[in-house]
Amino acid sequence: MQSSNFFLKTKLLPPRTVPEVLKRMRLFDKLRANQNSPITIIAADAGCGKTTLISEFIKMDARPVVWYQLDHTDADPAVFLGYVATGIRAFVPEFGKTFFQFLEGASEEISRFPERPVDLLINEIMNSVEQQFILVLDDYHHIGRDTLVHKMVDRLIQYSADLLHVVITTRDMPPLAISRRRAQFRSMLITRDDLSFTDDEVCELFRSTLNLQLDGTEVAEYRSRTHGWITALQLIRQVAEREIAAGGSAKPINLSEVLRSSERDIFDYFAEEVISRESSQTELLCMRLSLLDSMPLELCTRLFPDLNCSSALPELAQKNVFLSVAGDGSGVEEYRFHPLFRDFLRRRYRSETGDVPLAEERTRIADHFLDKGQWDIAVPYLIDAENFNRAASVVADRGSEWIASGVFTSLGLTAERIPDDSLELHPRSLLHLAEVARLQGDVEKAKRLLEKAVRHLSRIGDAFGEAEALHSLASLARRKQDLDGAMKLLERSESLAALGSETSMKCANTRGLCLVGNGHWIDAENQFRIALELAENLGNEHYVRLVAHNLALAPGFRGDFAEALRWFRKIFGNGKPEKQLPQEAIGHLNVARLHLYRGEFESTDLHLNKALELCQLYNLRALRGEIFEAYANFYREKGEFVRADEYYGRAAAAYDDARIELGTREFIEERSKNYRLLGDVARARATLEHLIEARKTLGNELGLRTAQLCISRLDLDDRKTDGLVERIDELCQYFRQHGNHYDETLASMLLAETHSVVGNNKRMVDATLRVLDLSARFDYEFWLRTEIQRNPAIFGHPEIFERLPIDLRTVVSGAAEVHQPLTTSDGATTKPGVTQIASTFSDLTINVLGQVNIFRESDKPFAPDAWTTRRARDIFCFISTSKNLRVAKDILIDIFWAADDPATVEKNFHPTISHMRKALNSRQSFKQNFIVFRDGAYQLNPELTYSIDTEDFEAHIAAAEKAKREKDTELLRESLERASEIYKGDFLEGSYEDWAVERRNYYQEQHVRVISALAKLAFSEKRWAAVKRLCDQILIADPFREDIHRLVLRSLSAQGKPAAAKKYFEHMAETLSKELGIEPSAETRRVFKETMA
Amino acid sequence: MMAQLYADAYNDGYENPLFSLPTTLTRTPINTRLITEKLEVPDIRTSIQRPRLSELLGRSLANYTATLICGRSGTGKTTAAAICHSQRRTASWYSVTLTDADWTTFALHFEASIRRDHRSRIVSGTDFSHNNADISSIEAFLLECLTLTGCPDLVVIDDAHHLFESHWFVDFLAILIRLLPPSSHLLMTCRSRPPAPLWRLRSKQVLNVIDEKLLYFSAEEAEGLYSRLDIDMEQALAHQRLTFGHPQKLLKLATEVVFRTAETRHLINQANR
Repeated sequence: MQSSNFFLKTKLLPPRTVPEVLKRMRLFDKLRANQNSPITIIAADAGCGKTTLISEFIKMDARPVVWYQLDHTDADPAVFLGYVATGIRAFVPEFGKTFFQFLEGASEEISRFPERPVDLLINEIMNSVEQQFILVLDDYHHIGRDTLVHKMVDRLIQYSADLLHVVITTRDMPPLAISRRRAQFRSMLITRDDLSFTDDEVCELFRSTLNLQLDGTEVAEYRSRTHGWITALQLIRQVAEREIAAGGSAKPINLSEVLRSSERDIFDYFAEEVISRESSQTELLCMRLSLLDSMPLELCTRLFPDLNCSSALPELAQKNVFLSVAGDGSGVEEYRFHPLFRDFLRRRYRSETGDVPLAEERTRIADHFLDKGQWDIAVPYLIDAENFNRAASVVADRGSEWIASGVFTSLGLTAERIPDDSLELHPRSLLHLAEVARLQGDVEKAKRLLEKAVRHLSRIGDAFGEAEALHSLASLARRKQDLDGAMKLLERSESLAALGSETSMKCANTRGLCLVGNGHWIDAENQFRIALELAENLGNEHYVRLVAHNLALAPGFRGDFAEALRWFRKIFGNGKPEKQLPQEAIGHLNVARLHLYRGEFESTDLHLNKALELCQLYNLRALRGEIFEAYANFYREKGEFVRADEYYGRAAAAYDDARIELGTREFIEERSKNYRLLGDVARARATLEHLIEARKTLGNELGLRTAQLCISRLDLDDRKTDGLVERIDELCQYFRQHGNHYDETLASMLLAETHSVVGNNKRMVDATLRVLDLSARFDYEFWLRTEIQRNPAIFGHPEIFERLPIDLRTVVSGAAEVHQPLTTSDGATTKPGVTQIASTFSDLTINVLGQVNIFRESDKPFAPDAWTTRRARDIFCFISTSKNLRVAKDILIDIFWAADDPATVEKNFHPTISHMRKALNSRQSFKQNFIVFRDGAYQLNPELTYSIDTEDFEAHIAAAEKAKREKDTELLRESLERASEIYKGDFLEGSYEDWAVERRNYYQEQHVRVISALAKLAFSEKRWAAVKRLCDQILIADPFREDIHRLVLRSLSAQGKPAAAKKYFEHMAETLSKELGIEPSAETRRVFKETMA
Repeated sequence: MMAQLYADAYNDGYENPLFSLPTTLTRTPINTRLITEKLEVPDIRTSIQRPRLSELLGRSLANYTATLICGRSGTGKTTAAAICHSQRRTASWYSVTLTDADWTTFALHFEASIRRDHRSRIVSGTDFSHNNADISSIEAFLLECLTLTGCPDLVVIDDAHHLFESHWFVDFLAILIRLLPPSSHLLMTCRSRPPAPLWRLRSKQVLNVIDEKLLYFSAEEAEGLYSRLDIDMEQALAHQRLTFGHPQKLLKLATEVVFRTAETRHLINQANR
């Protein structure tokens, strides 16, 4: 896909205002009423006034509009989304930089993961667009039913609904998911019945445009005969207009007769009438122009210099002869025939000139486009001219560029109209069509076409073409795991390909992938290096990145981290500008891991942040767990075990969300290491045992061994040394045989430690020397230093010490002096069997009881000015503390913009929502959308987790009530105390909006209930000091609570303090009298009497 | 662990993230091709002149048949070897990687390095004339290689530790040392101690080992380096003591000082403006 310049401006031009259009308020009202639903579909036959209706409506609407006129070429997802993004750029100039970067060369990516570009587009909309806008998809039916575009529109509607209102005009109901929910969105559909003119509208049409007052009978006749079909009415109107202009000299029309025909005949009849009144020059102009699918003025002038288009077309448009003009006022204009009129003109042109001149004219148009390099536009004209061989030749020559531009669906559809024998004459065309089939997921068709291409390319002696086809077949075979078949095809391909050609480069890369599939990593690495060198010689930047990534994997797997980083630098380093592509997320993640192994924490952090940013941008669900896991490993290596555990929790949730089986990842091993470091050895062992069983079932040999290595470490910790040496020895052998150097190093170290424990010094020395050897060869210095610090006795052995470089000897000496039990940087000393794990985490913490405190990670607070406006923060608090964490848009407007007019609301509403979203992502590396819009309401994203103090507060109160019912005093006290702790102050302190005051009163009451219950509990348990403290707490807020005063009196009585009780009662009575002018109640007086008695 | 590295990510998307495990270690002969980058000598234009080291290497090259520079990553082995290479009239260079542990691949590249012919060519795994790595084949290969093409004054094999576990390596080296003409010298660099038979050649006065201690910057060398970078001597000595003169670590510290100084100057200039 090309850059944003690829997209034709004319397709994004809305139709210009037509002066004599009847304003149809009834339909405008219906459109307005549906504004809050994500979509409006206007579905009706040609000529029903769909486009006119919506073009008139948007002129009265203040929202920005993207008008997108679709045709069959827009069935390609990349083209479709590219036009949408280009349209948004009209009112957000900086929009879509990353998006267009992604579209370049992303055909395969888009066809395989259609949701990815949509998610990126939605994220960019969320980040950059602050106003709701309308996206009009005019003539949506042109893209057909068999395209990924429908899925994309569904996703766009689902996830950016509050910022986007989609209007679709179409002749048939589109296969969108939302179309199936018509019952739910009854108002979203406008059909032919709605568009048909009512009697009043017919009357108004003739009165306003012709100044003709029709009587009831005439109106009824026109309406019943036309069924309110606007085009027929327009035709009648136009003919009548001409009759009036002719002053009665024209032959009158027998309407009854005409209107009895089919719609097409009606149209033809009237169109004949209309065109026959134009000059023959205009008639010819119309007929010749009708051959064009799109009619920008500049193109018409160049193609038909003799027809004086620049003056004739505006004149025709002015007359409203089924010709409209689209433009944005900046000088770019496109003319559009009414589709029925264009069909009519084409039929008429054919019948008047005959097939041969028509074909010649089409070929002439095709030549024009070929001269301009617009071969994708030219080919359909060649096909219409039945010049199939030439069309096939263009496909053969330009197919790869066509595919690279992302327009592969259109290529496939176009080529389907070319007969096989023409394609076979130009067999390279078959190669390209096979690639289209592959991109569309039809592998069998791709294979058939490639085999046919090989035969015909061989027949005509096109060795290089044949080599390319054979490589493509090999690539298909590899993807189907037929690795031997693929290797044979690659050998044939390479024997035909030119030395150092792109085909031989691809062959080396594909062979490398086959070898990887067979487990021949070293051979694979060699092939990737060959491919890389060829790619560099050819200057093929795309392949350099692709192969460099593949090449980095092999050393990465075997544990040669420095070598792996060397190849990754070809992607991320060397001063090249970084591309924000989804696959770079994997690259950054892998680079981060490599840096982590090398103890390069700054670089680890940097690349993890980048990986996370891209993961978020493209919504890479499958990768999120991996990234969180890498973060967890990172914190663990830094000694922050509790934080690491929190990230393991996030990773587990993300894996679960992406439905990834944990046994296939190293997550459990990594987490078990953290459990061990946190002191929870039992949990570490249990998870590892479970993992070992799972890996046995999966037949994952290497994974089984790495898990066994982890459990052997626990065995050594627990001094379960029976048979341990043999088990670790076997692991060392396995890793060595399979070239897993890092694993072998870890196993050798564990072996050395085990020998040390069992007292076999000689074998301990041998194992440690192997550790030193591998560490030197693969540069595990960071790891080795940690091991030396952990095992100063082993490394201090004379034979080993003598082999250490001088700087590492100092580590041994230093470690021996300071060797102490492992302490976490979180401050906890690890003790086996003691769990110190924070078991839950949340994506967002919202504290509104007391001073408002909202954060995602306590050490990464949002920027002080993050919310931009106080209202944005308050709306967020309102939603967060509402039932189901959800509030209808209308309610938000009623509460927060009660006094504002609709224009002010329109201006401020969406920017405020945008501020909210941005605030929650400020200073955060991981961008998340916490506010989603579903079915007319804003809600906290249900896919994320929250810790909300009001929810916790109520949950503890509910638990207390349950405990009270069940007479569980322990739980009652605990729940009440927890609730009391959570209540740090009044709800949303400092906010005096009505809704906040209402909620504040509610939580205050709840809090008093809690304190009161605690006071009563303390009374029953004779904790007098607590009773006094709690009662005082309530009475400060409400000094007139006699029930609390009575509790104080009883408490004083129980303590045997009648004098104090008397004094207290008198003081209370005085307060009540002075402040409220009342006496203590009878109940209070009774309690006092009892007290004194 | 690396098993989590995504395979094939760029052209196969994100699913199938794990490599399938090796099911067999048998190798099938496959086409291979010369990777000319392996024969390219590293650029030493910006490297630091170290007369002490040059003299040490010069003596070794003059008095022994083979020299082994042995040290960890970042100790300047390759730079030292490249300087030697630049000082010889005819010299070959071959940077070995783990993929060269395969005899066919190694032989192809070694031959090309000796011939100093970097033209790319394809060699089929089945048709390479010396694809068997037994003693007689190795000898035949080396004879052909050294006699037909003429042996350079210096034969450099960089990062030879990648070959230490190849079953043919000890034989290859023994034969190569035997067949090398008196005017030629073999120079190898490696990160770890070589296999015992090679290590024992030291006692026969055939092999001279220069270990990483000798590659470290002495206090005088550190002072010289820092004075060229316009950093004061005290820092040079402090850093030399801290790093023991480990070349990469010392250079890293020096670079940080240079960077900080430049940054400070920039800030002062800005403040003055």
